[in-house]
Amino acid sequence: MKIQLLDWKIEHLNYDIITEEGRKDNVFDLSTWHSFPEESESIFLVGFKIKVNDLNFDLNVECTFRFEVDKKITDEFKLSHFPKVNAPAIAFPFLRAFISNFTLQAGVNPVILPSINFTEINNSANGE
Amino acid sequence: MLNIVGYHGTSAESAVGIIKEGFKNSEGENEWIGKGTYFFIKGISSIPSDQALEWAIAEAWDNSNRINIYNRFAVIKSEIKVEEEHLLDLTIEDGVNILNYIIEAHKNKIQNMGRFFDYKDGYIIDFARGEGLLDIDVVKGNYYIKFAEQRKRGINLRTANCTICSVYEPNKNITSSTIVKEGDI
Repeated sequence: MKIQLLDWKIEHLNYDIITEEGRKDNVFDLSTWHSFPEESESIFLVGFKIKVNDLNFDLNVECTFRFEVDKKITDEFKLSHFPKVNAPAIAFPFLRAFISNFTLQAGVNPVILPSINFTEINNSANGE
Repeated sequence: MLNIVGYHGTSAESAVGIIKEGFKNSEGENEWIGKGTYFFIKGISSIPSDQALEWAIAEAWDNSNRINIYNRFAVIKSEIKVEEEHLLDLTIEDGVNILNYIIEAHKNKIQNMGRFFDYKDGYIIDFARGEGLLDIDVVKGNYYIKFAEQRKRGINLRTANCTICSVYEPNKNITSSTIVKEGDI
């Protein structure tokens, strides 16, 4: 089965400079979701919600990636690694680059998000 | 034959089991409309799938231990088919009248179920089904359901915010089920 990234967009972005001092650590939180729109049999969506609490700013980003597969999406596909592991692994570098560029252009310390091992995350969620 | 589209919110792990093996009825003591499999359906809300998602997230939280008992939610979309005469619709007067009739006609028996019998819709429906008084497969009704936000803030309205349905024999009335959304909590 072939997966193709059709497009992606930032759905929500919130950026605030922190003026008060006291924050000692950078915190990064990531959550993902995927869904299967009822109006299409071959398109599915993968979403990311990222929260970066830097020493100097807060950044919240929500984005959605649209993927197309060359076959009808079945329950077997829905339960497979494709929407949980393969598609997020394809999509995440785009978001990572966006956040790096955004923070660089914003004049703060550029954020280089770590690489994410989605296989490991999925295994951990499945208790493996 | 009526076709109802319902959305069921649960953990991602349970969703896999449901897709592979089918639904198992909810067996709690405090069910809204009887011991069945519950779905959010169109009615008060035009987007019942979002309510199923919110429900899955709210149910993950174990308030006693202050932890999520699961970390990934899933929303399942199911097609429910039911004969009109086997649907009890508590969103309309006729349906409410049936419920009231059962209470009135069998008040002695119902009261004997317990000294402090609590007249909850679910108990009455389970009683009526158990006694063979009510030949129904599916019940729908409007209820106020507390999701994570309402639970956190202690919001407890009497105004219904959801239309839900309970399916008593999932294998009989649910013709298809598929996962429509899954994600981290």
